[in-house]
Amino acid sequence: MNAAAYKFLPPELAERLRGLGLSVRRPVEGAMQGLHRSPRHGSSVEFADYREYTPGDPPNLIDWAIYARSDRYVIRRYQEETNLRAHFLLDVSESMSFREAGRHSKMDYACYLAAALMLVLLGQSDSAALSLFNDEIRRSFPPVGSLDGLRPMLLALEEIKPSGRSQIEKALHETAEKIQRRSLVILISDLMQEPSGIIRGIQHLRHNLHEVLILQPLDAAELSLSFSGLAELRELETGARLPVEAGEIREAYANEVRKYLDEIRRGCLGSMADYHLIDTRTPVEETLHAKFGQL
Amino acid sequence: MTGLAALNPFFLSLLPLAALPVAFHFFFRLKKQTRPFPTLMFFHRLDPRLNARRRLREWLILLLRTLLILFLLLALARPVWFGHGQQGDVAVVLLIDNSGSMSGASEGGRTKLKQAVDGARDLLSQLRGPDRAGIVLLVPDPAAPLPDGLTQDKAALKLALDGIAETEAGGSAAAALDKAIRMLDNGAASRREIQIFSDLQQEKWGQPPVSPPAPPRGLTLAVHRVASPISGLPNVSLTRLEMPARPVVAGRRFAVRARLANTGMERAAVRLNWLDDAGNRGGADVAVAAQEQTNVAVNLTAPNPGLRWLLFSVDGDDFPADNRAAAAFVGLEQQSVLFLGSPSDFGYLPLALSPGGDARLSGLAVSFSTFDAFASGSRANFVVLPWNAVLQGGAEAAARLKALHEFLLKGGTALLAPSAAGWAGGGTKPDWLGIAPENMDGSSNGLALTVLDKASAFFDDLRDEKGDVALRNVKVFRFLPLRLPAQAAPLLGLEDGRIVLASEKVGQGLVLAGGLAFDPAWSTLPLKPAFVALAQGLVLNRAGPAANITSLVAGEPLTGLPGGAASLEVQSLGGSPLDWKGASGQFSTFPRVGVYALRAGQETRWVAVRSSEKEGRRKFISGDTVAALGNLPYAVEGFSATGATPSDFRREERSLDLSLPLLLLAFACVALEGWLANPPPMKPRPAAVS
Repeated sequence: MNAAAYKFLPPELAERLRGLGLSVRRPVEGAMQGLHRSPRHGSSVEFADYREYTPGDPPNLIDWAIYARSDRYVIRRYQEETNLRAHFLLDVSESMSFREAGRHSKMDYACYLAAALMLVLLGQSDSAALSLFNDEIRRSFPPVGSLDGLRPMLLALEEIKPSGRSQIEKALHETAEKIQRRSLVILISDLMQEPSGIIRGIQHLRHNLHEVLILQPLDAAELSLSFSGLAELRELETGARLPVEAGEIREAYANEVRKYLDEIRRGCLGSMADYHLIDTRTPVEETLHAKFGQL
Repeated sequence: MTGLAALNPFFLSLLPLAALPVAFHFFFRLKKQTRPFPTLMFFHRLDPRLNARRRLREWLILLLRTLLILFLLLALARPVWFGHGQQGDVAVVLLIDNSGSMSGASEGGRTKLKQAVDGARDLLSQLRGPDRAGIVLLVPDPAAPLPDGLTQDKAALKLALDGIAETEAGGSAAAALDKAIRMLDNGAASRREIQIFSDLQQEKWGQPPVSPPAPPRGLTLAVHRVASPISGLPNVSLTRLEMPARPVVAGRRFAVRARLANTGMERAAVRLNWLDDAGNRGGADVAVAAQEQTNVAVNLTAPNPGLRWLLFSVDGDDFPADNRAAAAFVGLEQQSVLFLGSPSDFGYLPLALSPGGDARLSGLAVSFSTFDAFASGSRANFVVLPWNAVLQGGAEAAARLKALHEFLLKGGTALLAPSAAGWAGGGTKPDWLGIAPENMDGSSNGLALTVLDKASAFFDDLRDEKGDVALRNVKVFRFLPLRLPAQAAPLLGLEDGRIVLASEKVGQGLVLAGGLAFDPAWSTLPLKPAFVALAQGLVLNRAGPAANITSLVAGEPLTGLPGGAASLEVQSLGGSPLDWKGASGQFSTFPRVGVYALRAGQETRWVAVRSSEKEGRRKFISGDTVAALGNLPYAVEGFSATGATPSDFRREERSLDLSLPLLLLAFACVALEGWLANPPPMKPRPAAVS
């Protein structure tokens, strides 16, 4: 693959992704043998437990050392290891086009994240799928496990023009229904909706035994009002306008944002979903190393 | 008369400017930069009605700004409600300043008084039927009869205004105000006004009242200031007219000194004119330097005995009301001096009293007689006799001394002096005489003669410009020191303190006791020019009855009016005419220059009046503070022939000026707008309890 041809996966970024890895806490169901635990037992090097031999079991699974010590036929079971299938859900609503204090718009930052993580996953023999959504899932790419399969996705990222209003909850429900196997669902969105709906969508995914990773890129100007004086704000997704006096409302606004983020964080924690708030001022590779070097 | 009107209607044409805030609002709204923002969710979470509140506040601010401009423009337009104060009848006192300063020129060549009277007439024409008015003059003028108190008779008031003429007097603002207030106190009008017409000369209006009058309830006081154009011409005032100190003898020349003061900033060349009661006229050109005074001596002659008067005036300066002065005096008939003895007894004294011997030069006729002849009935007012004549004893001498005593008791004057022919010494003085001569003494080198009572009228003719009496080094070689009783007054003495001339009253008469013979062998006094003045002064100072003449400055109150009589008659003898007759206590003052005779019963008194030099001072109150009005509520407004009339001003005064309430409303808008435009920061919502 010629990485230089992709906007969101430049060679220098791809170079710095070495050493990064993605893993999940719970077993996932993959089509191929891989690095991740599978809910099934099979042939691998990771011991699981013992069980009594029953007729029909392959005799080569009998642990002869146990038989020698206890005169019992015992079969040694090993945890089957499989590959990870990650579904990327990328929010392409218009609010993602906002950029003021950050290095990139939230959309570009999300694309960088998605591209990088997909490359990381493919590098560890996992597969990645991509869905773009705003008020509904606009475009989907099936899971691919090779760099060649990744190309259409990377090209699709470059074609994104943020528009429309986002319906995150709806996108999460649709995804939960669509994915049959246990997978990792990576939601990259600014989550500019009421937290309760988002949490409901996450819980749906969790109910279907999917691992959920949420990445929320936000511009610093959203966390606290960066302007002063009177201004008329235009909401990107709806076009609604609101004149505000920054000095009058600054403190209350920052407090409201904090409360909202707390709600999101608590909801994710309660749903066993991994949640990461990302400041778009931070370079992408730093964010990736900070967040996913530990996963 | 009622309704709303704007005094500055120009500002009404600017009222469309009140729409400026709205125009600016929409203009800036179009130009206002909109900031894209990811979501308004947090603002709505903060306050769902934030936008509505914001819009409401914006419109309120817009409204307040519009109202602010509206109120300001309306306030500047000075809207007035003329319906205010229309109810009920009105009592008005027209206080007209008719003092001398109002004789100055105003617009169009008229005097300021004429303009003031026209203003008062204009205001009078505005009064309604039931309204009452009265007139008070700053200088009471007996020649200008005024209605008594307040009246509804407008015709009588206008007639009274026509009779008001310029005066040459100063006046009292406090007295005039007091009179006006008392006049209003007597009425029961629902609204009371004092309308003052004056040039507000500092001299009269710049001093606060000693006892400020209490304003009656509902009093409105308006001051109509008559403009005083600035004049570059000098002003010369006649500040003093000084008559000779001693009586003037008919037919004898006397000097009158007039003092002229130039209050202008340039040298003045004027003419001093005079006129006497006989119709004799004269004049002299006088130059007075700027800010200086000068004395002009004029030699005149009283042709006949009796009351005489003089009228002086200055022509050729800028201001006429301080240019005149009148003087009155009683011309005496020729005085006779009787010497009781031989001419050799009296040395140079007869010659000094009457150089020609016939009274032609001095007005004094001398004659010689004997003491016996005097005792048998000689007529004279002034006798001179040697000490020897009164120190004699015996029955014959007693009879002569008794006659002399009776002469003195009736008011005669006797001069006792040592005989120049020789001093016999000894003898006994009569009991009625307190002064006694002691033994003769002398000094070969001479002792200096000094004046012991410098204030005595006997020495008036010897005074210099500063008022000092100068005898100019008189030496005394022989003398009789005098021993004085307590009631005697020393007049001349020696350098060692011994007295050589003294006076002692005896009954109505006077004894002048001398210790010097009028001979050069006794002293150098007869050789000095001062001797003639001293000798004649001794005689004339006691000559003639005391004239009942008072000198006044115009406008000064006359004290000591003959109050015993019920009626008083005032008649002018010269100068400004005045013919007044009335109750003795009603006569106030003389407003103009002249000589006046006041007759009350059998008593006659004469008054000579000169103009008040203060009236020519050109300091006028230019601001709106008139100190003489004290705490009275008043407003000062200028008026001119071409500008607003006093009736306009009065109409304005009676209106309700809405400017201040509108200004207050504008300030309220500013305050409210400031409060709305700068709200306190919004407090964060409390965290929800989970």
